[in-house]
Amino acid sequence: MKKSLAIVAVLIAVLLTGCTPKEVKTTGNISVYTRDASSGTRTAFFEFISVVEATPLTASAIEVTSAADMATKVSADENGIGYTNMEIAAANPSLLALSYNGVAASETNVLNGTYKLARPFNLVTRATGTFSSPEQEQIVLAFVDFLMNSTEGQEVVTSKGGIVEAGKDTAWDTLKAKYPLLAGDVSTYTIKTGGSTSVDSSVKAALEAFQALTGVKFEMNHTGSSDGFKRTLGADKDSVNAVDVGFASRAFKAEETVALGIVSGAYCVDAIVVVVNAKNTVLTDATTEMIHNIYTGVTKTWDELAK
Amino acid sequence: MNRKKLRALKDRLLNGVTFLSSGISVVVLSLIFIFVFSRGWNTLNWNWFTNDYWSVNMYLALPEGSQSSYNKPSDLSNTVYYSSKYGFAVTDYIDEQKISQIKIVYIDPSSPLLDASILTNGPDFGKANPIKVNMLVQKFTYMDDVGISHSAGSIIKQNAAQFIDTLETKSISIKSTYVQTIGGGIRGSLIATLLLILLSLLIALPIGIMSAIYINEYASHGKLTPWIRSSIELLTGVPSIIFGLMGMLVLYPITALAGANGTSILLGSLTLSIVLLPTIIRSTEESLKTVPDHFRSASLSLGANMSQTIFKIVLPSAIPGILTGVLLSIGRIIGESAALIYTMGTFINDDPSILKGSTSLAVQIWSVMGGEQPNFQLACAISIVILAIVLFMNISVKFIANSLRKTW
Amino acid sequence: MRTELSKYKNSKRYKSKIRQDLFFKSIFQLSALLSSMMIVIIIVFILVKGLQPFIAGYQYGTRNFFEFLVGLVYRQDQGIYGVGFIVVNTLISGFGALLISFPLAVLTALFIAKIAPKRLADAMQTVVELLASIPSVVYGVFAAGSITVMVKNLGAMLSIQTAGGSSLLAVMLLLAIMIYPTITSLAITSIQAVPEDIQHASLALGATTTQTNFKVVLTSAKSGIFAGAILGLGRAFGEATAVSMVAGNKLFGPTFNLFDITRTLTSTILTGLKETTGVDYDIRFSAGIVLMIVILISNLSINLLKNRIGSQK
Repeated sequence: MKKSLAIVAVLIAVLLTGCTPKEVKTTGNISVYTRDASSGTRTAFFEFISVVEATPLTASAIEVTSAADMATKVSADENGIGYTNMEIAAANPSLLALSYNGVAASETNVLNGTYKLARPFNLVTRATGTFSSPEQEQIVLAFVDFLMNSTEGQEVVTSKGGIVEAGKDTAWDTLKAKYPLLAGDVSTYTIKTGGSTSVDSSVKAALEAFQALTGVKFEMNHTGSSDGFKRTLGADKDSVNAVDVGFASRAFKAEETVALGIVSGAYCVDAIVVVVNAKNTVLTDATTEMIHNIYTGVTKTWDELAK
Repeated sequence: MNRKKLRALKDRLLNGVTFLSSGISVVVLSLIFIFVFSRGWNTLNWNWFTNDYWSVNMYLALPEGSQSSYNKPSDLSNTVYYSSKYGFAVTDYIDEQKISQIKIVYIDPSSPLLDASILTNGPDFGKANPIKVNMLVQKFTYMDDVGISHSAGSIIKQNAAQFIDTLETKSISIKSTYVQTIGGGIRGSLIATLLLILLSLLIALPIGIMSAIYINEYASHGKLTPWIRSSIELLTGVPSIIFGLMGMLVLYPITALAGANGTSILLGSLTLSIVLLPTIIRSTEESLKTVPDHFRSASLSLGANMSQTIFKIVLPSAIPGILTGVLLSIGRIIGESAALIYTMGTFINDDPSILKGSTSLAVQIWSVMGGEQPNFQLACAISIVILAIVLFMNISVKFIANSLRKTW
Repeated sequence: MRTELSKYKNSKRYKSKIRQDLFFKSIFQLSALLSSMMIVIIIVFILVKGLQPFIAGYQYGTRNFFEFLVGLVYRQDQGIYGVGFIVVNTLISGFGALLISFPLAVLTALFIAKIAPKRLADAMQTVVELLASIPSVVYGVFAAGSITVMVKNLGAMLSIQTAGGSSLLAVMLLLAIMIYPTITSLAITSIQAVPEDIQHASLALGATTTQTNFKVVLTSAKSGIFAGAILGLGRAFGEATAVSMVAGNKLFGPTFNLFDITRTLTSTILTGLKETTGVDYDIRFSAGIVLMIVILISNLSINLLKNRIGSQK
């Protein structure tokens, strides 16, 4: 009896520690990972590879909840393919970032326009007079100014992988003069942000830096780009989830009337990269057509690509 | 003879199978414990209980002309980089978001870093705020030899070696610093969980005990009683996620009247108090049943009325049962997640209050596991805390059941 | 004597005593009614909210109830909500878990109640109680960190590909572990309640202790054992947090392949978490109704099965 118990224990131990056969070639079905429908990265990415209504996403795609979740899932799945932003892909050694149409994702290639899978990180604030108080409005505008125009703000964004244009380098000490409230105690104010999850790390770093400079508090509730407009100017602008600044990791759509907001625009550019598991032996470069076929379900196996 | 042997063999085989299936459960339990402890144990320490989850960001000024020459302590390992100009040492550190940071590991007792003061506007401006070991360096703003300020630190993607090298070779003085605490603590969730337990019991106990009294003392043979009993019993079969949906829908307007907008601890407690009702009612009723009838008759015949009898005679005798109900409830509250995700929210709040959303310990696990980078270390460490509390509650229940059981 | 009594009955003190009694009685009654109303409140409100998307004039576009019930695709991005396959998946994962857990639990219960020596039995009882007291979110962490790894490696050994281990099999194993203590503890109680004389009769007829245990004791205890199975199944269907950590949320179905990802009713209810308005929000309540109906029907059918088996003996 004890013997059989020991066998069971050993078997489980073996399964747990893993004895994955050293597979050299990537073969079998492609696991297609995608972000959920509210994601701006998804919208932007699908536009690039023309996954549209006529040629929709394959139904066997697996939905993940955030850019980081994408990295986790693909790095655990040798047959996975997905897309995430450059910074997250670079931080994860179990991921292989593919070049796109022969061009590697890098800051230089994005800025000189050769790497095509790039999209802006946009923001929009609430409309004048719709903040909880005029003071709140001033504080929020100060933060937006810090994020978009100050040396310190853009420095933080760069540190989190955002690609910024040169020239926006006014010192914060100069900019802050426009916001008289900041001279006093502003620790009772809370800036609420929402929208895209891809901007999460850069916005968090910027808010933290802003907090260190001014003492203002912040609350981030990022759920997807479609909520960026919805929760500042759209249907949810007066709901419990309303925010002061909304973010989108794509261009704003025509029906999103961001002109109503006091400020709207991009604070940096970010590259989307197609990622596969680091153990993948088939791909190093992605072409538009290949990725289109994978995401629409035309190409189903790695073997088809290996040919 | 042969048949007898066969029978004995068969018997032994059957017994063996039962032994084996019991063995599997032991294996599974040990696996769970090994898994949770091996991953979470290193995170457990006292600071972790009292730390905030979110980092505190500090913008600090250092005294003018702060540079001098400090002696390098001899016991620093070779992954630690020492600044002899400012008397502190740093090392590379990967935070829970898998981002590389620069962590301070040593500060000389006379280092200018200890004389830092707050630069953030507000009531604390100018207050002394010494930089401490274990803080993360985001940025040091230093002046070079021609008087131009530059940044150094992880904010311009330097690692520890590059950061120290920059300070040592280029800086003349440090103007200001931007540092962070590490965060990742559970203080907020701990407080929120305590508030949740208190409030839920405050609501559920009176209603539960009074219901049990009505069912057992007044209406034990009433026509409605079987209905009441079985509809309360039905509550135990409802999955907790349904309670969550219900709380969001039915109870939210009540908390909104109290001034809560969105999810809140109050909403969570209201929802959980419904989840707890069957447990409290059942354990109270069980112990009411054990109070012998002649206690009641004696009290009534001495001229006490029904309510006096209940409050002075019956209830005191039922205290062990009520206590059992309370302990079981606390165990349930601490372990509950699905009902709370909707009603208390998933935002980890370091400063919880009754009308604001916060996470309980269990929901904090859900928060750190879902969404962004799943953080197994933190999740497992919280799991250890939850397991410890829940096991303690269960042992207490056993203890009470054994030692307080009175024989009349 | 009689005048004394009536005097007392007219006294203020007596009257206030009566009033006090009435007051407390009505409070007690009120709380009892409140407690018993809760289930009704839950059902009514969720029904009303959950049926909204199917009623004409629904502000986000009325859905067809029938298509919702039998649909085989659930895609929020295309506005297609069909829970038919999700129900099938929920049933498969629940019954699959029961299939794994039930024999193990019953055998363990027999071991604890009849076969093991006293001290070992006590120790095993503690093990079962410990398993029962572990919160589901902890099971979820365990499952996401180790069951999925196990399934992934198992798949790799059989050269079957998995999505990082998130799979129907992982859900089943997880649920099997979670419902095991429930079934076991109810089975122990009912095995211990089997009258001694039946067992003595069996032994006197020449059966061995083991034969008695397996043939007589288990048969007599079956109603309690089935009650345990029902409870376990209810828990399996209703389990949300842990399951959603390993299910993988497939967009279409049903899932029959053990190594393929799946989607259960509870994991569906938890995915719409971010929404606060619109169809995605309301449809969760519809899924909640379906979940309650699934639990109800499966309880009824197990009860029916129990009676069948009962009448045969």
